[in-house]
Amino acid sequence: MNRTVNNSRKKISISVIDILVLVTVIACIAGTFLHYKLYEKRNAVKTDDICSVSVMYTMMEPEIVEQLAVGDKLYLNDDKTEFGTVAEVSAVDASVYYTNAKNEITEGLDSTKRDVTVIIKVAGSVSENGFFVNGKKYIASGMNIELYSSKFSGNGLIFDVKQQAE
Amino acid sequence: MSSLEKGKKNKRYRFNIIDVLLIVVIVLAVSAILFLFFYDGGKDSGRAGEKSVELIYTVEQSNLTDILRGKINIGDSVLDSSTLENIGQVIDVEYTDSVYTGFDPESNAPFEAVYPGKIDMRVKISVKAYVGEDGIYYLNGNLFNVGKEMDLRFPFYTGKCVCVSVSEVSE
Repeated sequence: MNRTVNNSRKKISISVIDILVLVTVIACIAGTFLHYKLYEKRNAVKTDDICSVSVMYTMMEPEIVEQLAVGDKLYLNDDKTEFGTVAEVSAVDASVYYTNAKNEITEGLDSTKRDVTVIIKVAGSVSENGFFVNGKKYIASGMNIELYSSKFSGNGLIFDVKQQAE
Repeated sequence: MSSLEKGKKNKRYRFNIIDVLLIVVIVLAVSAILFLFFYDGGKDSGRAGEKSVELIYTVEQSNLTDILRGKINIGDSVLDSSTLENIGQVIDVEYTDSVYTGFDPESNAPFEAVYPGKIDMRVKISVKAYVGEDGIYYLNGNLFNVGKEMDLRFPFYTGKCVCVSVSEVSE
């Protein structure tokens, strides 16, 4: 009889340690959820802005230049993601520098090679920190960039990044 | 007093080793989280004995192709390309023709001439830095002086430059 009375009166007592453990577990779950939500937001692909990116390829063989055409899709060599679409290709005889008999450097033209300017339409986001392709990869003038298409690959110099009017 | 009341009076919560370990783990975890969120490496606060100064430094990039002229604007922020930390704001940009030195065999004398199609660029940047008691400047915790090579990122230009002058802004 006494044992029955004791069992019916037995209560679960919660100590400070139990509360601490509970709070910690809840905080860890909430923190993990928040972390992944922020991670998704930070890594969301942004393509609201379109820029014209001008790339210069120098001293190219004419046969290689012929593989570049308006409408071709170009991809980044480092991560194989899409970079943009060729909007314009213009090729001129390549500039070369010669040293004459007086050791002066003079500029001339090499008709067997081409200097090519490729204008590429690229989607991304423009901010005060610059232009980010797909909202992630920073590109700017002065940067060398390796691009490829189904028929072409080359290492060029970015010399202009211009945002398109909306 | 009944035996039940006596039992209740005598019953005390007793800490065991598991409870102690749990408390230690929780305190360490909270400390680690606070550290990760709030500690910035102390880079902006300077080290003991360092004084905060306003600096103007000039960086140079030589023999650039002329098509890269005009990509940096006054007011542009400057970031270190490797750490993405802010290292100042552009206050001036200057472009000059690149010059080379050659030797004329006819006159048997060296000469200087303009390199066709090439330019040199100098960018003046203002920044808050620290100077130690030894007179050495520190920027974001790193040693900073003339001759230092820097990989810089501007909003619409990026390149490797070398620091060619550093001066303090007098108050």
